[in-house]
Amino acid sequence: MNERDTAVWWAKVRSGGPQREPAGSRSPDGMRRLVESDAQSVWLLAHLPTGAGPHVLAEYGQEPMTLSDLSGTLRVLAACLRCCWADPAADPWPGRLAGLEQVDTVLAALTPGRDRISRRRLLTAGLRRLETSRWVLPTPGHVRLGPRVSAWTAMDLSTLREMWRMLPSSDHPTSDHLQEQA
Amino acid sequence: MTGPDELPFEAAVADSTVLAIYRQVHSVLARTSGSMIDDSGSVDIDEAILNAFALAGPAGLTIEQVCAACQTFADSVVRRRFEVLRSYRAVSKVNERPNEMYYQAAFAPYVMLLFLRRLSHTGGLSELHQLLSVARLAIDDETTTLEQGRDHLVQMTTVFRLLANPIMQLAKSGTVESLREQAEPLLGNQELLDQATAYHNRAADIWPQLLPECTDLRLAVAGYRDAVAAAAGRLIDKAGRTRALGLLPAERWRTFAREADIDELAAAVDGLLFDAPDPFFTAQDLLTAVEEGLHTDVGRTPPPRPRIDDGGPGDLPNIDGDLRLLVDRAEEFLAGGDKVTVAALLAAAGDWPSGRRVLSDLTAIGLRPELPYELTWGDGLRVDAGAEVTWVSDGWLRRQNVTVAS
Repeated sequence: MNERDTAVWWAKVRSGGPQREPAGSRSPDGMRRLVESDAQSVWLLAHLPTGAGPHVLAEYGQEPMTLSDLSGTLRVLAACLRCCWADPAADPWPGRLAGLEQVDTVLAALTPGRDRISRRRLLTAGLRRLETSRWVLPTPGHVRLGPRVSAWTAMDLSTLREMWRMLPSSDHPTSDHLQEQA
Repeated sequence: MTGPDELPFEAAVADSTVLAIYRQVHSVLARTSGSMIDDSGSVDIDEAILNAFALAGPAGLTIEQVCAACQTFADSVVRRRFEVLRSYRAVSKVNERPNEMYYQAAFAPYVMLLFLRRLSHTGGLSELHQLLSVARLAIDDETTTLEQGRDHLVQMTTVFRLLANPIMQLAKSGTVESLREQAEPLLGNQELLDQATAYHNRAADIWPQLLPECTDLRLAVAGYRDAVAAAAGRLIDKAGRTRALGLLPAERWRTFAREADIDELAAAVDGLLFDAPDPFFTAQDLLTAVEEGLHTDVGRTPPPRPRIDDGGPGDLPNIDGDLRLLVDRAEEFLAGGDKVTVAALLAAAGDWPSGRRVLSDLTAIGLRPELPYELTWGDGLRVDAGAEVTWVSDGWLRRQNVTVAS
């Protein structure tokens, strides 16, 4: 892979987010490879040093990218994390497949006072917003974590583990069961 | 200028020479005799014709040869332009005699053409710079007379006045769009102002006797500076925070976006790289949102409800006070019985004002179908001239369920 290909890859990742490639492809310089659980494909992510990531925006006091209903979206992501992150001792990627019903159960604890319909609406909209930047990868009826969750640092992960324990588990059909179905 | 009849012969000849040059110069502007060109195509044709003459050498060209040389343009168009040029004497016969086939061209129209081109590109500011430089050099020139110096000063004054007036007009009352379009080529720079000031100072030093003209020039330059400042101030006001005067107005962008096809739109952003919409969520953000969600007060305030005690359907609908009053009144009228005539009630009421109140109550009771009373009217009429109420229709107030039962 020469310099030009590397540049093209970087442009692709910068403008289109993480890119999914067949497993055999070569990886450009400075990219991270995230292997899918079935090992058939990999995700290419820009591997930025800690001083060059999105944290820089906050460091310089710049407004981060605005997202409509930020807290709602964050709660949806938290619910997905609770359901898809099977073992909080390990890394969240690749995680496991979770049914939307499970996510909805966890989300109900996070958004008290919402009725079923408006919670469903929040879930759908939140998943859509999260999917555009590859935080989650929804499939009809199910959802799993996207490659971007691997951007969290070890310190972030310890905070997230704490959060994981705070959240109630979904007592609905286990994800293993669902995975068999899928 | 004085009248021609007063001029001596030499002056008249000099004037006619000026006029001839003037006409030649303006031939490149004339489309048909009398009207000006309004498209650059005609100028191109003129240039082609004059080029052909330049290449032809001293022998000149016939009109057919000119047409052949200008093959990129239609024959008829070239002939028409040629006629225009000839009528202005920009092109003339080599020998002034009948049946002369060969023509030659004057150089002044071509020079004018070059000037036109330049002026259309630069708006004339560089010519103004050159004029200023020439005038400035002329001051130091030993051979320059006082009269020439005065002429130069007056010319410069006129130039600056002409330059300042449209800018000031636009800055004061023109729309911002026209100001943006037209003023930019007119807007001078500090260099021009400095040059004019230097010229003025030098002229005032050298020729103290020309101070009135110098004052005019100073005023004109100051007026130009004011006009430019006003126009720039207005433009900056309208340009907003970006101070980007070259930005197109938003309407132009919108029109383009609406009318362009996909290829044009793609070409507009060709070579640009846009970052993906990737909001980054730190773990702290997530934790905050989750904690807020978990600790949200679940107790929702119930929606407002009407403040009436809903006792359910009772035997008597005692929903509002009016109904209860009416029921009391009806029972009072009936006095325990099941039926009473209106005439008896009116007679019991005594005088007419209280009788009227009785009547209105009766009507109100009769108009409430939810009350178990009924007011019916018959055809009979009781007339008693001596009584307080002189005539009474037949009418009864009945208890409804009793009526049905009987």
